Amino acid sequence: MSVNIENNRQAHPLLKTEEGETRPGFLMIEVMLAITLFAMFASAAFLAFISGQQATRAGADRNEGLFYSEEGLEVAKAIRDGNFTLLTAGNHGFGLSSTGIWILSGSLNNGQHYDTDVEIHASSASERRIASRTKWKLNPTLSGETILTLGLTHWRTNNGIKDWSSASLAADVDVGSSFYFTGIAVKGDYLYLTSTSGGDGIYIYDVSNPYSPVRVSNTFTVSATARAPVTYKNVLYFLVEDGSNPEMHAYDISDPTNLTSFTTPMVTRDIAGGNNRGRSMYQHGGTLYVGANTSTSSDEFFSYDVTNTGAITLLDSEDITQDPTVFDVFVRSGFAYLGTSNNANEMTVYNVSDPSDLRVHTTFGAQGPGDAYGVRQAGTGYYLARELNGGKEIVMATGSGGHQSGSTYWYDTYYTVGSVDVDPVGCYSFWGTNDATDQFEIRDARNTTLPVQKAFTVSNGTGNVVRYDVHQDRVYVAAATGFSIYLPGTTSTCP
Amino acid sequence: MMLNTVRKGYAFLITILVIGIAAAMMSVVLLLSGIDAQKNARYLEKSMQSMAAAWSCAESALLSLRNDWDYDGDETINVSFGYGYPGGIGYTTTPCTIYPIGGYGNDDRSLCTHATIDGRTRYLEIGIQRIKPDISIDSWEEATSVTLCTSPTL
Repeated sequence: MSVNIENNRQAHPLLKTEEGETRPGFLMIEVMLAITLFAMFASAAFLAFISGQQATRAGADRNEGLFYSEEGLEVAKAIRDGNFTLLTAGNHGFGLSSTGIWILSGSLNNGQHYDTDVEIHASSASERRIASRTKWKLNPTLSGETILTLGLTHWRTNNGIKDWSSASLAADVDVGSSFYFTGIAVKGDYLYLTSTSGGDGIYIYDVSNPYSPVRVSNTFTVSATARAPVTYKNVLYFLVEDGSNPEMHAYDISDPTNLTSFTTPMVTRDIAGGNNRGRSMYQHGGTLYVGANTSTSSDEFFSYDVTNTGAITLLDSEDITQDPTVFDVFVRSGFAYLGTSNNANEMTVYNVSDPSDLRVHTTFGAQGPGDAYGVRQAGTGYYLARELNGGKEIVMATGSGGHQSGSTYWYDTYYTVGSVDVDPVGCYSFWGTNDATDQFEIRDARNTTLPVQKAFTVSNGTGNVVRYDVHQDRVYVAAATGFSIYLPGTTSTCP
Repeated sequence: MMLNTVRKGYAFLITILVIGIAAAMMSVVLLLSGIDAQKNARYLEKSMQSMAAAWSCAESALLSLRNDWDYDGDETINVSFGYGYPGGIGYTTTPCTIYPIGGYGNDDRSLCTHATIDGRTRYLEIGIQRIKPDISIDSWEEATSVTLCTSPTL
């Protein structure tokens, strides 16, 4: 035994005490303790490893589930874009039709590990609540669900431009004979007309019944020529030529039936450069763009801020080359199109993306010296209405965004074309003329030959001003002694 | 001879310790990255829910504009928010903000919305070419902040 102990001492010198005594059983305890500690340590590390791996997997599963849920919402959006009524209430699966279009089908979209369904609730006739839910259960510990909720509405509905090739006269109102109308504005059920000084200057009609317009606020008159009415919020703006400043007048039209006194406007504003300078005006996004009569010493194009309806604040003004009179202004998508008397450049286009910094963008010269009385841009073209003066009276050019991007088309009408308007889609163009028989013409705006779709003899004379009302899909034509209201056919068409 | 035996034992012990510490560190790193992965998934979920809410707000505002182009926006509305519970989907609401509608009239309008869920905010900016006869969209973009519209007054 002593030999063994001695052998152990030689083999395991660390088992000796300082005094050289051995410690029987210590090895066993130490080994057990070490194994226990190691086991605990290894278990903790293993658990951390497994938990980490599972957490990573769970995160990845949730991400994948979210994208399946997102797919459900995208399917609902795509179906809405095609036909809102196909979003029927209930729980649906989805898939692609034989033509490659998303459709709702079945009650669940079964994936290999993920199941998605789309729950649709009809909140109202034009609103749907979409909940796209994805569930997964990869093993007893790896399961979950994601839900994404979206509200969709029927804003894509298309009221359509009706068939103006079968337009009809709704009302013909004869107002007088010693003046002519100069401008039209429409807001809601009310029509605002301005006239030359022989008339009342301003006329307001309730046109809620287009077959029977009724004049309101009869005592609200201007003893001078008024022009270019526009509305912004509940304010009517127009230009006055009464030989004294200021030209711009604004009136509260919260109640259009209760305007009484021209002499008590909300606010007025003088146009620089003398009296009677205002000629044309267009409202766009809280900015009034004013075109002025010719002046060799002052500007012809102005911008005013009216977002504060209690004030008219000058933003910028421009002196146009050759000082032409600006007969018409039209603004769309950051560009102002000016129809002018400049014989070389009847149309000038300004970049008005910053109304306080008007910049010439481009110019356009039409054949002959005839003035451009009207200008519009719609769809992929712009349109000029011109004076009969040795050139072409109707001009159409392909272009938008301030650019003439393609060809120009010219048409001789052999009569002055005093006004033009185009529906916002660019389906139909409406022209006011001084022709002997056809004072109001409706032309196909998309066809470069601008074929006449329908023409009317306006009983009140020359079609001085034509305005298309997109709210009601109507056209108002102001002539020499009265105005007319036209309605389209019943079907929705766009030539 | 005794000295050599002692050295071999320490080498083994140190090797075990180093491997153990490395394994432990790897486990901890994996655990932390797993926790982060789960957090990221939750953040993504909240972010996607925020986008859905902002989109719902835009849908509501577009419907209001279609019905009345004088609609001003500048309001906070509540939109549906679904959550899971055994056997179905429960619904509550979450707020989203419609900024003041830019422009006036039929042409060239701008619409902006945002929604925040659990600190995750998503913004939408929409350029509207025209409202009638049908709403025509120029641009529909997510933004990191709103520049197309003025700030809400609420």
